[in-house]
Order: sequence, then structure tokens, then C-alpha cells
Amino acid sequence: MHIHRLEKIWIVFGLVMLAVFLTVLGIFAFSQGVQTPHSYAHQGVDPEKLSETPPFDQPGVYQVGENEYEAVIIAYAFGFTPNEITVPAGAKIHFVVTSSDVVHGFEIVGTTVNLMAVPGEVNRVTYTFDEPGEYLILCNEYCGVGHQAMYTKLIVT
Amino acid sequence: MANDVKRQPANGNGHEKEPALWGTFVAVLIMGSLFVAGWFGAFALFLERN
Amino acid sequence: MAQTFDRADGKLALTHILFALAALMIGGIAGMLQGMVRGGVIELPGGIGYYQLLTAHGVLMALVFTTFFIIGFMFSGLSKVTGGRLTGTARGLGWAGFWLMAVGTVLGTVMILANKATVLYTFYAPLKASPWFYIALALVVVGSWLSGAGMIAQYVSWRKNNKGKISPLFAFMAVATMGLWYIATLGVAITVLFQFIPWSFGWVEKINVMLSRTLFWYFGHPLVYFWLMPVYICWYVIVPKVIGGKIFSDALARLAFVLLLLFSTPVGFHHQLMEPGITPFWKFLQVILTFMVVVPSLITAFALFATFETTGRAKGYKGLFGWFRALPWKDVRFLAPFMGMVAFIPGGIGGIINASHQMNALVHNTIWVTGHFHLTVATAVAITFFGIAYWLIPAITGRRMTASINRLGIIQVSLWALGILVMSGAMHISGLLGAPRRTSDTTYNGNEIAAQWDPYNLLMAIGGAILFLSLIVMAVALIKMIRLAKGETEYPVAESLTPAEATPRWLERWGVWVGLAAVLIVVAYAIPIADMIANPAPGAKGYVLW
Repeated sequence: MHIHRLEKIWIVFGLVMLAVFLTVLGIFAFSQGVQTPHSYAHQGVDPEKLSETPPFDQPGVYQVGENEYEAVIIAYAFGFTPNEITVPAGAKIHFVVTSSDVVHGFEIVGTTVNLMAVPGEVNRVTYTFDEPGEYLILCNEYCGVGHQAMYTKLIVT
Repeated sequence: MANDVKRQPANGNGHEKEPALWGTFVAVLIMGSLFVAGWFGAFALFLERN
Repeated sequence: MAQTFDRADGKLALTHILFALAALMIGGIAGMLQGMVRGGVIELPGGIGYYQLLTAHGVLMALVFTTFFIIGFMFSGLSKVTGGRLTGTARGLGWAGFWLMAVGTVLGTVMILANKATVLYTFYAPLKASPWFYIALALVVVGSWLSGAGMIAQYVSWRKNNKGKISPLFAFMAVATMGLWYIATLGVAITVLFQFIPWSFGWVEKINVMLSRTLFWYFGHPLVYFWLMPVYICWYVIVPKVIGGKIFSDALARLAFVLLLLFSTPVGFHHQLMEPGITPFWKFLQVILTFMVVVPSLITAFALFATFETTGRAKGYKGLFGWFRALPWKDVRFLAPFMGMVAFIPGGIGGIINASHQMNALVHNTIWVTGHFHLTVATAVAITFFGIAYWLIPAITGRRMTASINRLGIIQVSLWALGILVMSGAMHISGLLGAPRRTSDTTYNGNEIAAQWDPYNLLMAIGGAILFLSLIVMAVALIKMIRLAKGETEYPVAESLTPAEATPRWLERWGVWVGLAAVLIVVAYAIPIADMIANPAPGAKGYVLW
């Protein structure tokens, strides 16, 4: 198959470009800890029995270190428990999220916290809130007629 | 017309019958630069918010 | 002198095309209303909900308009390039497929309008629609399998009668497209038949949510390539003829389609990057495979520019970009696909960003994603299809396309491009500011951050209104096309610059390509899916939250 010389150069350019993107993503994800949200292996929870299943039997924000917290959150139609979270500036929060009914989104606007709350599964992501302010947390996955009213706040003092 | 610089197929290997594709080459490189700029711009925004 | 198009084949193709355009119009009404609601311009009357409209819009645009247009277009092209007539078998299967799909479409639409399937076109569990909605989807998919069988039967028949010859490029590409479709629909068929239907009838109480999502997106990504490949058929095979040139490289065009067949499917996880239940390793593996599927599009970009340049230079245009002026800008048969190509550049950039592993967190489920696919399926694909319709309908109905139709077409597609620019532009910016997709009108209780999104919502409403205006113009053009005088309209099929012998025959070894595609799918999916089945999370019961 004959390929024009300039096309060969273009294809090489394209492959190099894609390889650079993948390398940057891979380094940040697997060596710098900037990873996608994910669950622990085989940690399933029964969405109908969350009130009996730790940690979701006691949703809330718990201090686990110096300005470090674990936020155990249940998404439901149409809100989040706990409703409203307050932390000091610089707080590092480990979010642990599930749903008690359908799939919901958990997006903290202006940050890179943006994950799916799936019934039966536990999703986790960690974020450090350096900037004080009031953050809007909303559901960004259609979950029924009240979807546009499903939101809460995170306040960083 | 003026500027007939590229009148003949202007590849480095002059005797090949390859057609002149410099315009194509420049066009895809411009497109490729948009891809690179767009991607790194988005990644910078991502890191800033992270 | 153009050959008259076969009447029976024309009827088959036309029925598909008109059905597709009808779905487009109804879906377009829904879309416009959505934009107006979110822009605060109107409130919906009681009796129809925002999310019902959204479900109808997604199903009609992304599943019905696309599938019917593609099948109609490809049947017409097969007829044209394989001797001018479909076999009885091909046409029979084509009609069987049409009726099954049409019944499915009507049933599905009725369920949506009756508010029994307000689950959006992705129908994520454990939102639970009426079983008749899932049955409707199954009918559409099974119908499309019959249509595909008809096309493959035609191709096989041509090859038997033309032993040793390389297949016509249009036919090759159509077979690759339907091959991908069969591979892709396997996933959605399995989840609909074995998960959703039994569960929605109540025969099983719980559903494995991660498995259903994974099987859906196994289908959902190649779906967009099922849309794109017929567009590439137009760009590779039709457009060069329209501009008075030839296909730049027949071999590379076939290679691009083989690469699309291989890499379109083992990549569904890039739609699931923010989900639990899939490890980052498997997500990243599929991200790598996703980036491979960019390559055939890079090849295509070069091929298209090269076609323009070689055509222009052959006509005597000189200089680095002089050949640009050789292009027939006032011919809608070129202008529309060209606008599609232009839209596909930011569309492609956005797509690579979306699939970029952890970077997806920047845009996931924001309205940026909606902006992205309005550039790709709603422009690159749709506007190319509009450009095809203006010559295809006259060609297959034995009428003469007039300058007046051409002018209307130019107005229509220009309005469309303007509407998309405004609407999709606003969606991209608003999405980067965090505005969610799939969300009805809300201020989040007067939230200041959310208030930033309001001006963009208004722009979306304006863009949507311009798009609706474009559809009205198209409706006018369609009525005029039905009333055109009898005559001939060219069905433009380009010849290749390179001789047929220059194309390697191994490109047509379907067994090898399908086998390789299967291997890639097993590599990308077998272990994560096995894990979802062997170590499932507790299942979910159904919810009707509308």
C-alpha cells in the first residue's frame, strides 16, 4: 500500500501526540495519585440495608487526621445525607459515596470531585479544599422528576 | 499567477510521482496544533481545579 | 448520462429516509421546547414533563433518525454501485427490517409519551420503565439486524458474480459499518433481553446495575461510529465526485474503516470513568484503545484535504491553499458535508478530552458533554445527512434537483450551523463552569454559582430556536422535493485516483478483521465483566421516580 511521504509524517505526528497525552495521563494517574474515582475491590453494599451496613449506617463527616476527614455520604432521590458539610480551609476529605436507590451524580462545582453514586457500590475520591467559600454540590445524573432539585452545600471556612 | 513557487510536485525526492500535498500537510498540522492546544488547555484547567 | 435509479430500490431507500426525517422533526420540536424551558422562556403545560421530552429527543434523534437514515442511504448506495439493482432477497430483508424497526419506534414513542419510560435514551437501571419500552428497543435492534442481513446478502451476491474483483468502495464501507453494528448491538441486546425485560416484567426482582451499564456502553460507544462511518462514506466516496475530483486513496480509505471496525468497541469504559466497580487499570487500558480509534479519523482528515488539494491543483489552482477556491461552495451537496467536517474538528478535540481518564472529572455529566455530541452527531453527522438528502431524494425518486432546492438547502444548513455554533458554544462554556446536563430548569434555590449559568441557558434557547427554524426550512424543501418535475439527478459516486490493483486484497479479509475485533473485545472486557458477574454487588430493585 503506497502512503504519501507527507501522510506518513502526519500519522507519526498523530501517534506521538496521542502517546504524549497517554503518558501524561498515566504518570499523573498511577504515580502522582491524580486518579479516577474508584472503589475498593469487592466492597459491595446492599442499597436497601444501608442503615445496617457500616460505614453507611452512620453517614456524616468524621475527622481521621490533622485537618483530614472521611465524608460518608448517601445519595438518594432527591438529596444527600449528610445535608451540608462544613470543614476548615485546607481540609483533605476522603469521600465515600453510595446510593440508596438509583444512580446519582455527585459533583462539587468548581472542583474535580465528580463521581457516580451507584446503588450496591461504594465510590471513593479524595480532595483537598484549599479555598474557603460555599461550594454547590449537585446531582448530575438524571434520577427522576426531582433531579433538578437535588443539591446540597459544602462550606469551607 | 504570482507566487508559483509550488508549481511542480515539490517533494524532496523530485522524481517520484507523488502529488503536491503541502497545503494538505500544513492544514492537518494546523488542525493537530488545535488538538494539542485544546488538550493541554483542558488539562491545565483540570490541574488548577484539582 | 446518469442512470435511472431502480424504482423498487428507490422506494425502499426513500421510505427509510422520510421516516428518519419525520423522527428528526418530532425530536426537533422536543429539543426546542427543552431549550426554551431551561432558558426560562416558557413553562411546559401540564401533561408533558421535561424529562419525557428529553427521553423522546434522545431516542428519536440518536436512535431513530440516525439508524433509519443510515440504512436507507446505504441500501441506496449498494443498489447504485453493485449493478443498479438490489436482489429480491436483499430488498425483502430490507423491508422486513424496516417494518420491525418502525413498529418498535412507534411502540417506544407511545410508551415515552404515556410517561411510562421517562428514563432517557440511556435507560440506566435501576430506573425501571415499562417492559414494552424495552421490547420496543429490542424490535428496533432486531429489525436492524434484518436490514444488515439484506445489505450483506447484496454484497455477497455481487462478490459471487464478480469473482476476483475488488469490491466497490461504497459496498465495502457499508459492510464494515453493518459488521460493526452487529458486534456493537450484541451488548445492548444481551442486557435488554436478559436483564431489563425479565426485570421490568417482574420475573426477577433485582438487576445487576454495573453489568447493565457496562453492556450498554459496550454498545454505546460503537454506536457513535455506526453513525460516523456512513458520514465517512459520504466524505470519501460522494464528495470527491461532487467537487469534480477522485478518491485520494482507495486503500487508505478501506484501512480507515478496518481500524474503525477494530477499535470502536473495546473502549466503552471511557463513558464510565467516574464510576465505581471498574478498576483504574481497566479504565486506563480502554482509554489507550480509545486513543487508537482516533487514528483512522486522523487518516481521514489527511485524505479529505488531499482530495481537495489534488482536485484543485488538477484544475490549475496554485499556491499553498489556492486549491481551496476550486471547491464548489455554492453547491449544498458539498457545503453541507464540509460544514460537517469543520464541526468535527472541535468535536474531535472535545472527544479526546472527554476520554482522557482522570481529566474526565472536569467535564463528566456537565453540559459540555451535550455540547460535544451536538457537534459530532448533531452536526458532523446530521448536516452531512442533510446535504445527502438534497440530491438523494430526487435521485431515487426520478426527479430533477433544481437550483431552487439547492438554494433552500444552503439556507437550511447555514441556519443549522449558526444554531449549533450558538447553542453548542454556550454548552461547552457553561459545562466548563460546572453546569450539569440532563437537568430541567432550576436555580438551585437561588444559588450564586448556578446563576452564572443563566446567560448560557438563554443562548442555548436561542440556538435551539435557530435550529428549529432550520428544520422548518427543511420541511419546506421536502415538500418542494416531492413536487419536483420528473427528470434525472446524479447519484454522485467518485472513482479512485489509484487503480483498483493498488489496493491490497487483505483489506477485504473480513474473517481476520472480525476475529481481531473479537480478540480486542475479550482483552478489554472479559476480566472486568467476569468480575461483575462472579462477584456482583448486591442487585437493585426497580424505581419509577417520575
